[in-house]
Amino acid sequence: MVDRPDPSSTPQSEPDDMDTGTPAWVRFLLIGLVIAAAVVIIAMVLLGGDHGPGRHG
Amino acid sequence: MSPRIRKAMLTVHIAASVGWLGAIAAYVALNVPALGSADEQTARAAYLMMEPVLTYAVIPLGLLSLATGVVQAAGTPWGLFRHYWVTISLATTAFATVVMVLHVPAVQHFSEAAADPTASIDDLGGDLFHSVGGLVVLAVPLVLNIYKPRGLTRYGRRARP
Repeated sequence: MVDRPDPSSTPQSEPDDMDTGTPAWVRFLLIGLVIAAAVVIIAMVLLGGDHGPGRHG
Repeated sequence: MSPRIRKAMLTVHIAASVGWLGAIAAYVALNVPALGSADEQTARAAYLMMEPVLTYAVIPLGLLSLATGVVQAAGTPWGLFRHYWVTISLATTAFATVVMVLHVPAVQHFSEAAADPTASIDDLGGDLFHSVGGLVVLAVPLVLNIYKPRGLTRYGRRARP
């Protein structure tokens, strides 16, 4: 069986406009993570700082 | 890394990663009888099973997924820190692994309480937060590994030939 190259196995060359700055999808992802972390922290504060199984014993 | 070894490593990485998600799904499922069963013995059994599922399935598969992912990235032109999608996948997987390992004592507390017939299990409260949260966190590397969105890190731009 011939081991054909998998196009996803190696990085494709990045076009010039992708060379500078942080990509938009990274910014959106980071904003989402910050919002999720804030929601978790607020929920923990409202619940008295406890979370998880058996309130961690 | 030769193409043959790379493909073998990729196979192990995918198997471990998908298995990890499946093991967490099984752990989530144990919360259904633990929280919802009217029969106390069934609820205790579900709490008891959380520890072996975590110790012998979730943690080993998570560690294997992390290790094979690191080898897979470091041993290919992708690199660990050249592309945003690889670096973010590494960070989220490492974060989930650390939380998972730190969570073991809490799940052992479940097991001890459920095994003691004189101890009440009414206040244990299940473990949906960590398990469902883990699935949500691991959805990030899952999507990134499939779509491989473009974007070089600062290090990746500097290291480019």
